[in-house]
Amino acid sequence: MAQAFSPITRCTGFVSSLIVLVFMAGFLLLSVQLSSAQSEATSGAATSETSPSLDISQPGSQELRDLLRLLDNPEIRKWLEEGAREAAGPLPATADAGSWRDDLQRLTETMHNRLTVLNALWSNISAAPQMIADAWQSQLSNTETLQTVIYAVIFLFIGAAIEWLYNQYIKYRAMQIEFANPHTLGAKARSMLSLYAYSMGSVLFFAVGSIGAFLGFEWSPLIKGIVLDFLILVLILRIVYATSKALFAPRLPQMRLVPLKRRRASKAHRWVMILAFAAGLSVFISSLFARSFVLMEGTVPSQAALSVAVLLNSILTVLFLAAIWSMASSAQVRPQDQVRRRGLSNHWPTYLSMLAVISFFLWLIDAGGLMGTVLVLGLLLPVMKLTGAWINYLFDLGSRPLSGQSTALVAGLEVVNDATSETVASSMAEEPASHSNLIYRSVCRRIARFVLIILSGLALAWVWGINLFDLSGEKTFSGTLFDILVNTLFAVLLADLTWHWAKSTIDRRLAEYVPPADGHAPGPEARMATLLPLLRIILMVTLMMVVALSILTSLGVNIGPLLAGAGVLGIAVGFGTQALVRDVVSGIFFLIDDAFRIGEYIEIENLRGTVESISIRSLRVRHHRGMVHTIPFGELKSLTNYSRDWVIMKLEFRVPFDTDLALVKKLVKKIGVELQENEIYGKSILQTLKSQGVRRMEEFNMVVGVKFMAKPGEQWLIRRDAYQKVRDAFSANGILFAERNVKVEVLSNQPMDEATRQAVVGAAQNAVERNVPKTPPPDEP
Amino acid sequence: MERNLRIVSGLILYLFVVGHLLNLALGVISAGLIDEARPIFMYLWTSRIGSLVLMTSFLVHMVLGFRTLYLRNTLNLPPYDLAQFASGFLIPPLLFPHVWGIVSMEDILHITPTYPRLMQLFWIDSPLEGLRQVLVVVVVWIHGSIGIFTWLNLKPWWSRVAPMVYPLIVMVPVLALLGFVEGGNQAIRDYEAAINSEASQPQAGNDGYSAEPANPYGQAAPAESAQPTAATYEFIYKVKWWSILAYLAALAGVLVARAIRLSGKSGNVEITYEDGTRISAPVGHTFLELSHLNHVPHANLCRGRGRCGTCRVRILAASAPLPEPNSVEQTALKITRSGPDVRLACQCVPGAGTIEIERLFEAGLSHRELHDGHPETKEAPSGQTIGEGV
Repeated sequence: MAQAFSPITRCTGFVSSLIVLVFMAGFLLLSVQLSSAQSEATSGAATSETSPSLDISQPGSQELRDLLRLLDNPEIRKWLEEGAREAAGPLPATADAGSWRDDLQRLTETMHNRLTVLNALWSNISAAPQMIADAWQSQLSNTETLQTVIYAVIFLFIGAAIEWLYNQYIKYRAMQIEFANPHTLGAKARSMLSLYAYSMGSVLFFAVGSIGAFLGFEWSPLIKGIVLDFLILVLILRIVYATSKALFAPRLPQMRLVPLKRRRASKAHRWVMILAFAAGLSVFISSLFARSFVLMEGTVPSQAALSVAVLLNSILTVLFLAAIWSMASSAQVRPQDQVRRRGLSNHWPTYLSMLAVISFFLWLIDAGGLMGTVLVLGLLLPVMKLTGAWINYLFDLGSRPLSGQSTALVAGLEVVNDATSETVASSMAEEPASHSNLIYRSVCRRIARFVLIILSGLALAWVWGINLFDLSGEKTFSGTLFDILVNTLFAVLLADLTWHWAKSTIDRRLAEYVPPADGHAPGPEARMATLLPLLRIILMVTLMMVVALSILTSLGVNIGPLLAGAGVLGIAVGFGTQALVRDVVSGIFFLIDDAFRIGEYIEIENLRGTVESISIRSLRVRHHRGMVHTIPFGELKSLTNYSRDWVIMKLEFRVPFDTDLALVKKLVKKIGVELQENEIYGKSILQTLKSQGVRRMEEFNMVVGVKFMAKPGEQWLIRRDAYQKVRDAFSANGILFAERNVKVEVLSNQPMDEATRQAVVGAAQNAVERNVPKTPPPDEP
Repeated sequence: MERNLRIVSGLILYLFVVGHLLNLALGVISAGLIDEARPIFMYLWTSRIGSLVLMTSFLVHMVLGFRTLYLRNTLNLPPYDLAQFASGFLIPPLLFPHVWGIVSMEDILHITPTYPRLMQLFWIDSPLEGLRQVLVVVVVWIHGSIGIFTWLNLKPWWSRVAPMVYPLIVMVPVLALLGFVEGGNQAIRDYEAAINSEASQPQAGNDGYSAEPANPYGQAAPAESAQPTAATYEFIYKVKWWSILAYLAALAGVLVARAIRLSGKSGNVEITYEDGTRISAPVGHTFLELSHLNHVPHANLCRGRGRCGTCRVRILAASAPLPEPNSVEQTALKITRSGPDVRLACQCVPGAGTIEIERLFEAGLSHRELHDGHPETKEAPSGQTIGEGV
């Protein structure tokens, strides 16, 4: 546990700033994508040079869609559609050629155009603000601008008022949750989620109030668009705020689900908000320009828009860098940790800064796709690491339910000293992690990694404007390559996930299996020990086959004949090995039925013995006299197991008719007690020896039955002693065992001579012996 | 005394604002209705005594605000207090141009300030003034409502009535602002109609909506027959700005005085709560302020005004003796029949040293619980609260 915990505390700095990064990446990608789309759109009209990414109606994210919905101004749309039609002109030709060279050429041309525009921009940039102001004035008078501001303020107030009303009714409920001190991970998550739901409810009411009031009035299209843009910007910022607050919980350490101390959590929260604000503002301003300049002709406004975009994105990039380094500086609290940090985590601020700067410059030269690729691929690894660390942390949290006192202690110490509470937390985590925890932890990490890779693939597709589902229609080289890559990746990841899950589950079960000590019957786990390795191999082969086949399919190899061939072969082999298959399959079912285990004494038809080994196909049984029977599972019809739970042993004694039965009963009872007290087998007796009275009457004697119940395998020894003790007790108490005797009635009253007597006795003996049925001695181990 | 004065003056001002806003809210029904209903709503305040009372209340309330600012130990306040504080100090500079504008219009320029005229001013001639107007409504309403609520919070019947009052509190300013928007839209329509009719026939009918800007707030041209000189406008304009500047100077003066008052304090106080939480902060704050500054939950239903007694703490150990209770604290401690080791956290300012305290009420305490036999109290005999005491 302590081992699992310490890497977390060690890389908290790394983790915390990466959390910021996740937010950042989204914003950066979104804002840059949007503004570049807009500037492309505006410059596109001027130069009639278009790129495929003009098609901005790709539903990338909810926020983008919202903003795009705003752009649904009919004029803009009409204009965009014209642009798209122009773009559609040259596109089919290039698609037909479909070569890597063409793709590259298009890219360099776009870059070249952008550089030309940028050159002009740098020379004109001082004039840009005046240009912008003029353009603005021509669209919107001062009065109108101020009126717009008045409207915006009023609607914000109405939204806030309605939200306040909502808050009045839920205030105490939320406060109780805040002050509660959840002890388990589940309770923590529940409290966090309900608080989050409350704050999202606030946002919802705010939205209903502000946008609802807004919709109640008639507006000119321009004012309508701008005010609505603004309201949506505020709304998005508030959603980000609520989300970030729920995640970082800067003031509620007991509800924080990220491995950050208070100071760093509030810092991360602050940075997220700053970046969100900057990004939101930049998007808003860009869209403002897109709205105001739509009706303007020529390159001047487009250049102005570009200059503003460059300015905003530079500010954004600088803010990102500031965020990265600020989080990095706060992470370096303890010098001894730095020694332990290695590899990427030591250089991550540099790495992330490089990433941000490179992305910015790629955007500057209008290589939007390239920028997206760099950003997505560059962030994939750190984000995966971050998610892994986070999942680890959550599992650590889940495996040690905090006691209220220790949480309060941590919270209290945290105020005084962050570092101290970290050591307290790690010293509290001494309890060893449970096994299932470890298994699910790694499965969860795999799933997270899987989802992340898929998401990054989708993001890449979005960045390049490729619709994954239409891709098969396109025959370009890069398209096909992408297709193959996606398919392969997907198949491999899915197989990997399945395999890892199954393997870890099987391995865990196998690891839990303890082979029975000598002389003890193995438990039901033994059959799992037999079955699971088999299952694992089958699964592996199947997965490999499926992956190989799907890769072959995506490569374009027709696997139909392969499957058919395999099918034919399978049928042939199947017929040949019918018996074998039957053995294997019925063996699996016998094992599932738990009909026998290794070490048990069983009888199959007329074969008996102890189960020595179980293979895939057959069962090996050793007879108590040493012979070994090998029985294929397929031959098993029914099976008798002598080693289950208990056995009853019945013994019989023949006593003369004049025996005192009460005495017999008493003696047997006494012997029963004696047997039970035996230290060797006493514990194996489940019901000790007891008399069953006279079981039947025979011609010369009575049959007294006794019986006992014992654990399987122990009954023989007990029976031996029971016989011996009964015999001793009977003889000591004058009870004789009945003997087979023949009464010879001699009808003459003359005395017999010795010879005659001998003859008579001999004849009688013959008669007795003739009557006795000859039974073979029982075959018992 | 000081608290009662504040409440009474605040109530008078609030009453006026409610009337004014309700008048404006009629604009939701029809823009013309606002002006028709104006005499009814303004009846009370246009009389000499009424306006005198109003002005006095305003001044008294403002001075009391300055006093509170001077006595505040920290400006790092919980959200509600911060909102009330900030909005309170924003009101005078935002409101004065409006009040002065109306007064000067009536008494110097001899123009009746009708709503259509003002709407035209706020929406067409000088939208910046309109924006200021909206802001002042928002700010005044926030300040007033928080004040009223904080006062009513401790009334035993309030927790039953509050759910019904909340919607009203929201409805009044919302409807007023919507009325303002509607009036503005009407003004814009009329203005456009006037321009159109002026374009067709040069002699425009003067029905209150003049195409000429009629701006008594300063720089604009005269509209009425009184023909005030440019010097008059200059005077009005100057008075407006000078009074705002004077206010700001007063505010700055208070802040400087406060800084001087606080500069003498030094040292650190370390407080340990009964649950083991430990905080450390510079001296000069009350216990309650220290709790808020360090995000330690601490019950305070009256928001630190010494009225409710829910913030009381028991002093378990103190390295140095605490200062004697002030009069507010003494009253509160007497009414709640607290022992000698219990102090009012919102009034008691601990000196440097280490102190161990126990909060007597749960932080999540609601008003309802306060009056329903307060189940949260950890201290049965003296768990009584002041309630209506003040």
